[in-house]
Amino acid sequence: MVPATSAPNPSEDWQALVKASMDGIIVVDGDGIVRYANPAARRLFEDQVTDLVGFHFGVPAIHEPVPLALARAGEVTLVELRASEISWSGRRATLAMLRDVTPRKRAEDALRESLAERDRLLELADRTRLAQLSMVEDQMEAAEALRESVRFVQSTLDSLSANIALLDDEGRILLVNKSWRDFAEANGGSAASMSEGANYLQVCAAAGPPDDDEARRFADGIRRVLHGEEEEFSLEYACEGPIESRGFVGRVTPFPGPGPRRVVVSHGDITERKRSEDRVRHLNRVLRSIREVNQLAERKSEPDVLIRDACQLLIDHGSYDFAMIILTDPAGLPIAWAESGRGSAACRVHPTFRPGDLPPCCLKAMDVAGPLLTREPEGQCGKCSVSGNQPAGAALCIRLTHGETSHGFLVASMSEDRGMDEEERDLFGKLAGDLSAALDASADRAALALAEEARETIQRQLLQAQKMEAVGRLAGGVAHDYNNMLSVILGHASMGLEKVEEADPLHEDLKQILGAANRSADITRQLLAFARQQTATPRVIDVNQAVEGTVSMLRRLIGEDVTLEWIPGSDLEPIRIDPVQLDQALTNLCVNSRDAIKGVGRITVTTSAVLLDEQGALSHRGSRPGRYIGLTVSDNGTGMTPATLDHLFEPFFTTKQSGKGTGLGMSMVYGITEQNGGFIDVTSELGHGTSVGIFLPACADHVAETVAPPEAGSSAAGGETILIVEDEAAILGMARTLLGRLGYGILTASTPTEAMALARDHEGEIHLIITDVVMPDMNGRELVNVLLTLRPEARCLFMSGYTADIVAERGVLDEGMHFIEKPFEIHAFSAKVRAVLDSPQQPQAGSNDGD
Amino acid sequence: MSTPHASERWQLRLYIAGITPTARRAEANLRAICEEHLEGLYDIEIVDLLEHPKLAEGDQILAVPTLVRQLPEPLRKIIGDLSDTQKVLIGLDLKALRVVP
Repeated sequence: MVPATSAPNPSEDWQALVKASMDGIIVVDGDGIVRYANPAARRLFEDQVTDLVGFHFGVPAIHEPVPLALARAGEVTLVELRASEISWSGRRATLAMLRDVTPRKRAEDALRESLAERDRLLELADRTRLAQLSMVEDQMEAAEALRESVRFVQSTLDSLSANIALLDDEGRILLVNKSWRDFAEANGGSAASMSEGANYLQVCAAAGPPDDDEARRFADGIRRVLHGEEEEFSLEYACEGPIESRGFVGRVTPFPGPGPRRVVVSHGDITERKRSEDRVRHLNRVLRSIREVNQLAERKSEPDVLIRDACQLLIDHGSYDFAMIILTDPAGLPIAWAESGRGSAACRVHPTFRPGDLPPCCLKAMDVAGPLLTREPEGQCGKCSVSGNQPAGAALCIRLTHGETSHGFLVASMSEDRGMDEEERDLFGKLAGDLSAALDASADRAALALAEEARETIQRQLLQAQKMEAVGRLAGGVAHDYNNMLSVILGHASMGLEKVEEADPLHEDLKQILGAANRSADITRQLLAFARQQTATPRVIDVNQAVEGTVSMLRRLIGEDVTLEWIPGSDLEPIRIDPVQLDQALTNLCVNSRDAIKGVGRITVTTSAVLLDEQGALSHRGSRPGRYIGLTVSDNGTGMTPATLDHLFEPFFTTKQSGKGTGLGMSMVYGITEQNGGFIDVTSELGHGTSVGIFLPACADHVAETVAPPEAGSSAAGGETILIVEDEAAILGMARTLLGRLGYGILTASTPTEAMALARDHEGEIHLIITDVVMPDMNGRELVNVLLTLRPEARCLFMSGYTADIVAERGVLDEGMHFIEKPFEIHAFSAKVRAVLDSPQQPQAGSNDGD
Repeated sequence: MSTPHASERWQLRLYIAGITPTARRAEANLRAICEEHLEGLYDIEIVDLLEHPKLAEGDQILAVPTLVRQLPEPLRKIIGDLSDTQKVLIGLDLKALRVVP
């Protein structure tokens, strides 16, 4: 089989082969004594015995390969024992092969082992040719030794799992081992094609598709090594088998020696090594992804940003071809999707689902603690395309839970093998765990921020309300005292005017005093409105009707450069408010809008109905949930800065030029709205305009009253007698003078006691009692009750610097009682007196509350 | 069954390392062989080296399962799962006994 001219001494070669073998090879005689041991065998037992040869090992009694445990302290070493009968020095003996098969050892690729073995073998075969080999030669004749060695080495080569052949310079096979012959037969060829004498280069050339290309490259490689163009050649390739694709490596190395160049060709199956390398690479990528997910968590992003970034990094790191994260609400419905894919897996899955629907794998994973594998080929995925993206068609899905909280699902497509790999599943679970923790932290942060924001809003509103309350109380108090004084000034100035001829220089002075006092009274009225102490007669009215009546007046007020657009809302419920107050509010808002417009512009007045829910009520302090009617005035003027907005409703705060505004307009609007149980909404953008809406509670069950203009009163006196009770002497004097001049009979009292004495002692009739409400000893109401027992026929008129509402709240006045607010203008006062005198008897004033 | 050693009881010791499938197979094979060829004349001692690692030194055991014939002398060793009955019989020198009446 090997040409004698070119072959070295086979006995030497075989010995070298045995010595180089990575497997332990020993010869045991019939008594179980070791007669020969190669270096690998000696290494295997070196911990236990110094010289293996001569040791009583035992007679191997096995048929099939048997795993043996080495009797060594410490780690367990498993050795696979094979045995076959041989003749040794003419006696029967056993050739035992020992291979370390501990898991650590086993994991090393069989191919690498055999290739290394072959490399070493070639090297040693060359080297040992020169060495003195005496052991065998001393014991047997050269010819017998040669035959023995050939058999010995042939069986050794045959026991190797790699395909090995020795080729001559033409590519003819000099030697081929059993593995290769079996392989050739099993893969559709005949054993003859890979037997000694056949030409391997022709075998390669005869290969058909799909392997032809690689076979040609390999044949070229063999030629190059044979011709000395390359020292060695290797080629990794895949073979499509009936079940799976397997990986191989083919190698060509020169077989050194004299004569024509020969080469050793080997093919080894490296599928397992490839797979295990792929697996380790993949698991490392997943580990890297987990690390980065944890870094994402530290970035404190919103949940939807977090899941988007997490999906992307799973793809970027090549952990998976497609990844998807779905967040669910507490009811388990999807609220956010993120998905990412590579290549053909980059399609979008989310749009293929109807809102509220989840992929089948998530529905199934809902009740599963760990990762769940779904397989597309088994029809488990329905129309979902996640695992369909994969040739192998499977996906892992896991619920994202942290403690009791369920955040959603993580889905990644992968091959079925990978999806069943325990380590893969562990890492997938870990990834999901870390992602869930990050989502949990993110959700907590969001909830905290929301709560903090709400708290700050309420705090700000409370401070604002407290400030407005305090300013209001101050303003109200000041206005009340001023009103008393103004009543006196107005009264005396009016009377003075009547006494003085128009030509008299004093006449003009008095007119100026009267004018200034009237303007001052306006200011105190506005202050009282802001302080919610304005005298008001609320009625149920239709807001559109009320605004309609004011619009034409407003158009005149704002001038020609500014367009006023009036857009009434439809089907609005009526509201309860004093029409005069509504008018004041609307006027003030329109005037402010006009002043905010430089040149030409537009003001829009709209009405609408809104529903205020619980949340909305929270953001408008003091308001209750329900239906509101809004009156909104918008302009395209200069807008306000946030700083201006902060002080908008404060009295005397104005941005207008000195003399153009009092700074009470918005305060009034505020007071009126508050007084009527409503709220204000202001939006303003600097340079773009402002919109102010006042929202008043709708009264659905009331029908709007028609607003009737007040009748012009007559002030003609009819000689009746009036009792005036007032502790402020100036006002008492003024009232006496005024009413006396009108022709009434006047009785005055500065204390309740005095008043009671007068009522008792006065001989004539008393037609009218006018009394202050708030007095030191006794309030006006109590006094009137006493006086009416003495003078049941008398009418009553109360006067006060406080509003009717405030007075009524103190339990002083009942509805229907007559009341006049100080300061009063003399014509209004005399008209009121006349009206009360002409009114029918008030039934409740007499005996209702009695004593 | 009559042998030169009939009066002497055979003492056999089987070394194993844990109850592995190979160890179980070795013990079953051993008992079957003994029942057939040495009925009533043998004692089998099973030594688990996981429990008594020191015992391996006395009989110089390299790997297990190893069967040691302690009596009758001389000491003989057989290694493996004892599935090759012929080898076990030769190794224990039992075949010869049967042949020589």
